[in-house]
Amino acid sequence: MTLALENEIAHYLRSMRPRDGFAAELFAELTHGPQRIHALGPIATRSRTRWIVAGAVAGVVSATGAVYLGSRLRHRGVA
Amino acid sequence: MLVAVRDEARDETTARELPDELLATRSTEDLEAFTELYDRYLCRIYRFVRSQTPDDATAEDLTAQTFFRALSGAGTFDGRGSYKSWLFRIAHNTVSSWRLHRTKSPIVLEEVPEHMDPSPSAASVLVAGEERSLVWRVVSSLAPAQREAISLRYIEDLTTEEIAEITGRSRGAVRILLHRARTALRRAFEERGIS
Repeated sequence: MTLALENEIAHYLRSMRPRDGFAAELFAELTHGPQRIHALGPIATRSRTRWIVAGAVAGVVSATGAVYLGSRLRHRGVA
Repeated sequence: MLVAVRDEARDETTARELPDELLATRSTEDLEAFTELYDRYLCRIYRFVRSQTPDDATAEDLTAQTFFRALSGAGTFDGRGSYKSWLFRIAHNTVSSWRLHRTKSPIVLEEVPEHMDPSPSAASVLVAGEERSLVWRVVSSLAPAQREAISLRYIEDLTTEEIAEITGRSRGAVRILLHRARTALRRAFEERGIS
């Protein structure tokens, strides 16, 4: 691999930067976050939200499926 | 929560002049010391983490986790070694843990990092956006250990010894990883007609 190509790869990797605002947001979390951040960690907080949403969606899907299945069974005279 | 310890003899200029290791010993109690370390290392840690992850969101999460662990565990830094190696070791462990627990899924096309230096170098002017994503795809195709070693070498200009300290591998293993990574990169670019 030529030196020029290595330099290009290096330059590309070094040019990555976080989005605007990320540095300030993270700094605020680390230095002024509520006690729950200390207890849960910022990652746990975000992950917990995802799990809550996923659980709610699963519940809706399950309820919808149960209603549909019940109607089909009644249609066939089973239930 | 950090409390700003005000010392009339210290100011931001002084904090900028202090070495990492001294700032680290003060970082849990001195907001200015932590702020200086944060400013020095946020982008560097993010770049390293981003080079190991498939998208910006994951990189942000793991970068945050790295700094949270560094701040929480600042008391474990005894000042004998390099703070840079200590912090990058935390980042390495954070990424490794994420990779270990990552749900195995079908191959997902990794996102090309969107946020790049707005002032490109003269060399990269010659590299169009599509070719830049090619560089990313080729680097992303490396095995995780090779990608990590290449990233630490290219992004941070770390020596073999420093990479070994951060990754917990022997110097010989790091040299082999770098050699294999460069070979893989060369072959990948040659296949695409780039030399």
